[in-house]
Amino acid sequence: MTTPTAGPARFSTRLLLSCAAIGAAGGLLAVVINYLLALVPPSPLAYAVYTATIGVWALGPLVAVSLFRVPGVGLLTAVFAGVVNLVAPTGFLQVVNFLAAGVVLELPFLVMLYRRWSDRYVRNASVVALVLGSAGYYTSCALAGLFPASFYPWGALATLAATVALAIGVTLLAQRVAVQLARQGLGRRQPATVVVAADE
Amino acid sequence: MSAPLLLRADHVGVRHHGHAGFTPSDVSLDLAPGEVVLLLGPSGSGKSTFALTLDGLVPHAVAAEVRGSVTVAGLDAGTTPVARLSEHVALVFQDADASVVTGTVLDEVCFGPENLLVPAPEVLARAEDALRRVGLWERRADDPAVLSGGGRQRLAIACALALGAPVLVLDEPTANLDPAGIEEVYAALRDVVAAGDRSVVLVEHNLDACVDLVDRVLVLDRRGRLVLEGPVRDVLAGRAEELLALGVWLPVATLAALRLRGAGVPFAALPLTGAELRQALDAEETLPALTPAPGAARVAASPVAASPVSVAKGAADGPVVRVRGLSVRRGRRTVLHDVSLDVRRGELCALVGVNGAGKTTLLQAVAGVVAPPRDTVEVAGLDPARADVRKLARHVGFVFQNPEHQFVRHTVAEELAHALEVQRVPRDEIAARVDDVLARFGLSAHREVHPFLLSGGQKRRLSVGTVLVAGATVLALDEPTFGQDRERAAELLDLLDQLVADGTTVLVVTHDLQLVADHASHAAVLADGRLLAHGPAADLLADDVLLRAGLRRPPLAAALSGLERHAAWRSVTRLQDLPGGPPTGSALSAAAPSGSAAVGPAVSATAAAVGAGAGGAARAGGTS
Amino acid sequence: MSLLLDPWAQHHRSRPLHRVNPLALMAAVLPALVALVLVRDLATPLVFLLLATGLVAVCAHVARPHRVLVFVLPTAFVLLASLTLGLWSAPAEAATTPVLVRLGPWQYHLGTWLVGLATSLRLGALFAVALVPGVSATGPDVVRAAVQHLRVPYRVGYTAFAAFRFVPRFGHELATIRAAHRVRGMAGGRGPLAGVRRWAGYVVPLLAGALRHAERVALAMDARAFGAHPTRTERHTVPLRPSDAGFVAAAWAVTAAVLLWAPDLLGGLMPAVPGA
Repeated sequence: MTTPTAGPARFSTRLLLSCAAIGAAGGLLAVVINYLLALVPPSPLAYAVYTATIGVWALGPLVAVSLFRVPGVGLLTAVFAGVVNLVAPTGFLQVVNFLAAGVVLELPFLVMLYRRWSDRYVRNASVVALVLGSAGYYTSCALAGLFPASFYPWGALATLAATVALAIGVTLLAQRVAVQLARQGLGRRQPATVVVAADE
Repeated sequence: MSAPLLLRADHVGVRHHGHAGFTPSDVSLDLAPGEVVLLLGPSGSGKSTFALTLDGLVPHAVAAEVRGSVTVAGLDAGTTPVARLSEHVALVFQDADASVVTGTVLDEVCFGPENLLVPAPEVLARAEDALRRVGLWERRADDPAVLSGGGRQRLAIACALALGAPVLVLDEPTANLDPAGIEEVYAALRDVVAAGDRSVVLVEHNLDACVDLVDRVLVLDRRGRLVLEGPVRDVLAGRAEELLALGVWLPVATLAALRLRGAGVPFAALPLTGAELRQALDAEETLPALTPAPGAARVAASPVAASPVSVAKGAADGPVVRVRGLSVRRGRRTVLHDVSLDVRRGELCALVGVNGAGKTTLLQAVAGVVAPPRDTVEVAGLDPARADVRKLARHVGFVFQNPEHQFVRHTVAEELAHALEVQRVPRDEIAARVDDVLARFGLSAHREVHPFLLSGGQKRRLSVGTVLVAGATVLALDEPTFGQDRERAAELLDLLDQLVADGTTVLVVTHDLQLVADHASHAAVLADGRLLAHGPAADLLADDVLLRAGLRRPPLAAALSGLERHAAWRSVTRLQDLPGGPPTGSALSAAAPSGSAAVGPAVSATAAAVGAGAGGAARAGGTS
Repeated sequence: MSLLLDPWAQHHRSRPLHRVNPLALMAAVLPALVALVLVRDLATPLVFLLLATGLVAVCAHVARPHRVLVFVLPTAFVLLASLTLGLWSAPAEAATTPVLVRLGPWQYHLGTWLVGLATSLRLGALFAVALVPGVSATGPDVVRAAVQHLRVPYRVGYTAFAAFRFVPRFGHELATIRAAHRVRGMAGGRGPLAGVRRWAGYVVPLLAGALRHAERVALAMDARAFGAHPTRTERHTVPLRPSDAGFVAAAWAVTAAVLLWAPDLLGGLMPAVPGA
């Protein structure tokens, strides 16, 4: 048998699996939302709604970022959320979407070289990332010609307002969830709770 | 002669973050090839934690402070990565569900050796060998999720075998299993041990299931120190009274013999298995008379009750739970067929049956967790199909198998106050009742703690407390002892006995037939969604209806029913019914553990076990 | 109809699309997806829609529960969405086209429908093309291929496998949590607001349960040497063969051909879209 050469991994198995758990939940949420939104009759209004609700997709990765505050956690959780979408036959496009969302989510932390993790910075960074993500989706819809001239300016402005409001709402929700999880002894700097529980 | 050193633990102590003391605090172990070592100790002595140090999961994956040293095949477990150690020590966990990573049984077994870069053909060879040894080769293409509980645990053993490690560590491998599953797992393990190529370290409470394959026993005390060590018979039979004093459980045959010794039955050596007990008793010409005649009307089992509630008194009232022609469908399948059942005030009625028999469905219908069809169930005068959820919750409490599922608030005190707030009880009354329950259940010191951060036993007490605080007169519990060790199980049952004595009606779903024998006044046997029998527990346990339902006799009944002499003894099911008293009172009164002195509702588990003729201690999930 | 696939289901290897490397499948459809966002005529998306659906019908095995989704849904979407999309988008020229429906003063013109059709055809075609890798490759094979050919660390890949296993757990956990909330008297209230509050109350317990399970799984994986070496033995290889390159090349060639000639050859058969 060869000697193991892998050094201590930056992502412990525990962190990886925790991201997978949150990602799976977030990915399923996206599957459900997609099936629900599919019921909205297609129209520019529907695509405006999709644009504004991008943040809800990112709920899982945002919870993971708030909970763990480790570089790469947002991207990783987004990837797992995307992969879980492969349980739906249309999931292939979702993998790409989530990958993009994950990259966008990392950007505000990357520009600070992953040095800033205060509650406030995480909150602001999350809102910025969500608005950026929505902007990206909006651009691709616009390129596809989904927004006619009559959509401007009021439709666009309303979409922007809804996007920002939802981004703030989703961020606050994600942070609240993360705080409640941390209170149960889950997440960041806690040692694994499993064994202690099993063995008192 | 020096055997090759497999595994050596040298004065190992572990302190978890946020904990004051080291548990275990001082354990040493030298494992010989082919040897089976059983680790015993009361709850909280650190047995599972010690097991995790043997392959380095503590401290590598679970952050904790470790003192002393563990050496595995010459490697220091404190500094060698877990992955490297797993070539030498393989672990099997209590929760088999939590070890499944891949999509098929075969891939699952290959997962470990693949991680070790074993060449693919050898991976397959190892996997086939391991799966054949546990009898799962034919199911290699199945999804692990479709295996039974026992099957998944056998798969976990196969995974451990496939790693090729000469040492197998099993941490309470049968705590989550039903009797059939326990039998399966030990049959597989027996084959592994018989092959002689693996050493085994076993943490197990169910001594009746495992005692015949163990060579050596290590006993920890409550503080996690190694206090007794030796060959299995020397320790379990030779030092039985000391073990009881430590709060360690014994095989039911040994407990029965201890009790009978008090009544003058001579035992040259204490028996460890049912077969040995039977032989010893058959060797006697005469035995003392049995205390209450078995099968006669009995008091509701209640070792701590000051004034036992007799069945006769209960019968005077109308039924508290009344089920008439209840059928429940799930999708296209009928899971309950035309069940009718009465439970009277102050009864402890056990619902028993194999997995899928419909026990939990019946319990959930009675408690209104899943609304039953109208006019089929009446409980405390309400129809769960129509009653408002909040009103129903005031009269009927449902306790989940996993206590964590019960919790909806952020502190212990809020959790208890929740039911009262929902009912809009005045605030000062809430405070008083919450304080009362906190004190009764030994949780006063933890009132501001998050429920999930409690220990296992505390969580269980809180989950029962949350339903009792609202004054529920009917309590429904789903597998309350599942995944719990003996001591916590006994603690809970003492609590139930006390509630029953106070007039609460209790329904409990359980696999644990010795629990039924020792505590239930009545039992209902289900099979394939039908009620096969319902009546006094003692009558049913002596009846062959258990076998027809696919169940096994509880260990004591199994041992005694095969007696060739002493016909009257063949139908004994409870230790309490054997002549004789607690073995040695003086040694045992000192056993009340200071650590769990806060356990409010009852005497400490150990004292209860012994005081009640070891009623609580004798529980066992399966037969051996 | 089940909306979820079993990610571990074995595909019928007899159909050729299931033998193509998942990465090749993705590469093959990518140019078509991009093109479909940008084109504006009717002929190009129609051809892509027909080609993609035909390819799946002939060269892939679609499980019975998903046949409606794969073969009916894209076309149904095109027809339905064409009716609604035009309402917002139709330019002034549409008013000069023949009237299809008249409801009092309100008129629905042919041009309005054509404008909607142009957009809905593109979206339907996108959907149909994306289904090609979707029905041909299983989730685990996508993950394996990414590990074997895209340098994705295998620890991430295998964690993704575990993520697939979490999915059915959420269903059971949710049922239990709902029952618990009912038992604890949390189920009170009616109406949409109470519903939202109720569902919001499930989020934290659901995630907490999943995280605890994840920690246990992590421990079990560590105990089985997960991450011992920079690589691991791979019994299921998802090779990239010359035939995969051939498939991608063919797909790209077809895409290019459709883009080049479909508007000219078929455009004449199509009605003109107002404003395009």
